Amino acid sequence: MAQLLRSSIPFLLAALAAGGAAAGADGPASPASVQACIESNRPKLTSIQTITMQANDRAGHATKTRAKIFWKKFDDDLARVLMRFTDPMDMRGSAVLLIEREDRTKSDIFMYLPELDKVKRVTRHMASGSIFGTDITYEQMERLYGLVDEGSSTLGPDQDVEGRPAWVVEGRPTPDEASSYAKVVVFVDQKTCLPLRMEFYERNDKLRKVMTTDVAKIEQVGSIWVSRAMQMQDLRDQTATDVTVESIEVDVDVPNRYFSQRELETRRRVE
Amino acid sequence: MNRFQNLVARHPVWVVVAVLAVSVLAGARMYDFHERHWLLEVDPAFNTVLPDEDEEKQFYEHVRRLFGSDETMLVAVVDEDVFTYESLDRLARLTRSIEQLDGVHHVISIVNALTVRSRDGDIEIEPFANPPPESPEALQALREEALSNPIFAGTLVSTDARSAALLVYFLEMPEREFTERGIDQAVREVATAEGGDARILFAGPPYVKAEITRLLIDDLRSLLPLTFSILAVVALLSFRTLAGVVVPLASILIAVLWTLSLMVALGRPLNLVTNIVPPLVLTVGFAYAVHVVAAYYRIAAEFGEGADAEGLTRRTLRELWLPVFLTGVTTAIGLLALLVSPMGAIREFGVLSVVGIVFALIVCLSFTPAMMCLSGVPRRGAGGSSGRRFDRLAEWLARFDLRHRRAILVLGLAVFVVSLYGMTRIQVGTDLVSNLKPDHPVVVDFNAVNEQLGGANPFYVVIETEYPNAFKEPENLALIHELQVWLEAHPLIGDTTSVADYVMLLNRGFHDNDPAYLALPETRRQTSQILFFGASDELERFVDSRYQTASIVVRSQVIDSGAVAALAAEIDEHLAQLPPYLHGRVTGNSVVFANMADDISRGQAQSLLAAVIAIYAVLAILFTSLRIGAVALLPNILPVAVYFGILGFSGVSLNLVTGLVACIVLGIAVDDTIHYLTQFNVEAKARADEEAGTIAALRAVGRPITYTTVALALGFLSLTQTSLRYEVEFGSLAAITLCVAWLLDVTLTPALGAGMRIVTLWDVLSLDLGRDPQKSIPMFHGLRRAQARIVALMASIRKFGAGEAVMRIGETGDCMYVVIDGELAISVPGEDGKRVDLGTISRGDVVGEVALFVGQRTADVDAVTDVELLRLTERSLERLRRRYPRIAAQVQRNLSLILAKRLASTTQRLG
Repeated sequence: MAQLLRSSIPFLLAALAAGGAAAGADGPASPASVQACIESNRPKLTSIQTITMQANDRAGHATKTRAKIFWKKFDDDLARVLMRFTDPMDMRGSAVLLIEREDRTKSDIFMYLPELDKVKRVTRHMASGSIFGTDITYEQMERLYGLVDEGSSTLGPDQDVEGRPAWVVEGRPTPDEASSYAKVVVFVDQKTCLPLRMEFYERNDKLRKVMTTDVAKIEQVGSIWVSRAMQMQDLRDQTATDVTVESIEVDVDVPNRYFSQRELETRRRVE
Repeated sequence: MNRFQNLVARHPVWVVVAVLAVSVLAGARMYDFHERHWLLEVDPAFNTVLPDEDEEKQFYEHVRRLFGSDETMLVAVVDEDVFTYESLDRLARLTRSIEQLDGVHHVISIVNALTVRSRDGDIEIEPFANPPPESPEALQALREEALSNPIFAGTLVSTDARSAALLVYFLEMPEREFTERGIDQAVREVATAEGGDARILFAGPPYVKAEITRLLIDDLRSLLPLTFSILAVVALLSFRTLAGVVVPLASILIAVLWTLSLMVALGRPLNLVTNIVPPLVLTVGFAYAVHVVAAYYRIAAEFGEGADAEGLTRRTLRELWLPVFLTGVTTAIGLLALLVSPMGAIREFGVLSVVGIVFALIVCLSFTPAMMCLSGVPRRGAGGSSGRRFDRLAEWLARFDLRHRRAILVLGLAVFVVSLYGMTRIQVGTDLVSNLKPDHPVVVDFNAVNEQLGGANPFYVVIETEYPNAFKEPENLALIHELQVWLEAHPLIGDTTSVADYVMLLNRGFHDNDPAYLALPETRRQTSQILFFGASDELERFVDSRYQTASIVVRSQVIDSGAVAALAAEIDEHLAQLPPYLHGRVTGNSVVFANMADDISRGQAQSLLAAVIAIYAVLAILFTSLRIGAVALLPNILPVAVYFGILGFSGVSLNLVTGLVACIVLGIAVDDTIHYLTQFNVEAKARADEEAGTIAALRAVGRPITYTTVALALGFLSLTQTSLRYEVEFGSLAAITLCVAWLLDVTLTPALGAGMRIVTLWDVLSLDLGRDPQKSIPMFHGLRRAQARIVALMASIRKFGAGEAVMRIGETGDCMYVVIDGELAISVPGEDGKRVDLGTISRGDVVGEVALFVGQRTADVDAVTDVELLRLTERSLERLRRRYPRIAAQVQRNLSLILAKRLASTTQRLG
């Protein structure tokens, strides 16, 4: 399950807003149980959400990107994500389709560029580079969901985040993971299982990036908890990206055909 | 002042203990006893020396915020062929190892730079050569791809594929921290260790700055002991006594200690400019101390065996406090003039130097004489044995000056004219690399990188517009591309990279690597979509997030700041041809430095003008005459002109450091003029003869001003032993200019002053003409008290004892007397041989006026009591008329009135 949401950005963004169900009364006792808590209450089958990503650069200029994201778990327990961009105007009609494979390194990402009228399969260097000009990198998103994966994580003493009790899980990537970070600390809300705060440390344990969830914007949608606003701050480059979930529906009907290459090629508008 | 002189002379131990106590406190303030380290810091950050409110600097900071720093360190790996597995593997290892270092932001090399490729119709965004291929075919393909990539070729790999570059980006941190942490050295070590048999070169502003910083710190460590040693040798040669060496050296050490301690207290580190403050205070302070010690020995020699230390000290201070104080004031004025400079570091230098000079003055007028007093009465001949020889030489020189007065003046004028011509050739500018000596490894590497990779000096050409997303528009991208073509055709530019290159490469990648698509997309939407999906973080170096400001990164081969400024101006001129909605501008670290030239020139001119005006004002006040002020200034203006002439003829640039010379030298050189002219004043008055005064004055001050000039010149020459060229040039120029000033002070100044009667402010203030001379002495009626004193000083005061004959009937006389004090009896011989008393005269009366005009004395005049007379000659009246015409007119009126009354009285008596 830890592999579930790893390989693609759109997929992860789709999942980002959704947290786990309320934790059991006993509470998790290990990093693995925290991870299970996070994963236990994702949408069971589908979700549709509209998100806005506002990237704020060093000079204080902001650029906004808006997209509608369709997520669906298929029968093979692997997920597919379709991301359609609606803003900025130049990007309208552009789309990204992710098809998860059992071997995560072989997951497919397709992009559709209306101006070229072509669908392109893309492989991307994962370790570096931000997503669509934001402060969120592939690896950070991956970490968000794979934090207890390698057995290198430890559970620290509980802490309060914005007045909410949180489990603190510290992960130290192994050299095999070729991570840009020396340490990742996640503060998971004990009530909602949402990651309230994530800290990404560089070498010498220097804090580089901080992801924070706006606790005031946490709400329950159907059976899951959702945070409608988060921010990723790059402390070194003094930039930040705000992600806002404008709307979210879970476990609604989303046709399988949305998640096909042909759908991209025919440029059909998905409503 | 008398109280102070007495204090020092009577209680030298107290004075020494007090000064040492302050020094111990000052020393303690400089050391952290808990952490066990010195608190004085060195911050040779180049940004600190830039003008504060400089618009150029602010624009550069703005561009840095947008695109990140252009201050990358460049590690070049020179090999037989970059495109072998071994070479690429080494580059990969190097890239990784350097990226692991603390303080490194990231490293870009041909191995890890992202590229967009099309493979079987799929888009791959991946590192260019990581992992490196092994097959010859793949390596050949990689070579062709790299050399056809406009972002890589010429920047990350040389066009002959023999050199590869790693661009090392560092975390934002103060330059000082960068150097202290030795980040560039760590890069060097790693690169050298991993480089194997390849030649590794290093370049880039952070590396050069850090290297200069280290040199500066090393220099500082060795400079003070060196300067100190030189001054010790000068002191030994000058005085040849233990006290003559120890006292001046201890004095200047204390002054420097106080200065550095104050810097610590104010939290001011030594920077590129202020690091000259300690040697300056050391040398100038030494000059003051030498004057005091030399005077002490001279006075001791004059007094002979009957002298006592207390009396010698009191006399030394009485003679010297005013000239030493005044020379301190003029030096301080020269340095304070630097406060008008637009550059903060220069202003700071001015303030700290003045504080140091004030400390030196305090120490040299208290501690130095007190120590000399404690050293006792010097043995006979102490303080140098070459005195007589020196006196003979000074006398010969004085006679030479008087004999060849006209020739000296003409020669001075000729030197001035030649210097003016030299000034027209001055080059202005400050840059990093040229501050190092040509054989320094940094310069050698810089030149090699320039040759191998087409330019080691990066800067930006920035294009701005008011319209967001403008640089997604094909026509604007095309303009950028055209600009790059123009730039790359310039012989001084190696390579350029821009968003246009980036977009073209992405376009080719999104079109199956079809070379036909190595072009700009046709529509804005195409560009937007390609960039959205394909761009990496690297794009941030070329365009801002709103696509409203774009930068072309230019790698230039020019190093000289003048050439950089000229190139920037040429590019700016070309940028003026852009459409009106696009605004282009050149910026970058080297460009900001190059454009400082204007600020340096402006600062130099303003500071110098301020110094000249202020020093002239002081001289005019000191010598109570605008004319004498100008005459005193002239021998000091000329060395400054010579300094500028040397700059022009030698090709040494007027830069931040050499620009300090003029004001410093002006402030110091005028000291010798003051010493000479005040001495000349004393001697000329004492002898009532200006020519004799010239000879005596030069004999008296020739030795100390020569010794101090030698000490100052050697002190400044010690800077020639530093590793930084600007400091070497500063030291040499300051020493040469001071020597020129000395030469002029022993030739031109006596030549100019020979015919002058000088009245110093001190004379005016201290001359005693009795109570209300303007009321009690008819000759001074209608004048103010100070004007009456001026009249007296333009003439001379003669004293006669009771019973002494003042004049005899029949003698030829050329003067008349005004009685200031005492009583005189006038008589004529009677027919019977007895004297016929004509009466007595006292304060205010005039005697001898007939001889002044007719030539012969008509009566005998004898002093009844001790008398003080004002002696007026035709020459002194003429001098008064020329120098102070208004006062002279009043005096003439008074004299006419006196003569008229005298005539009326005589007529009445006869009638």
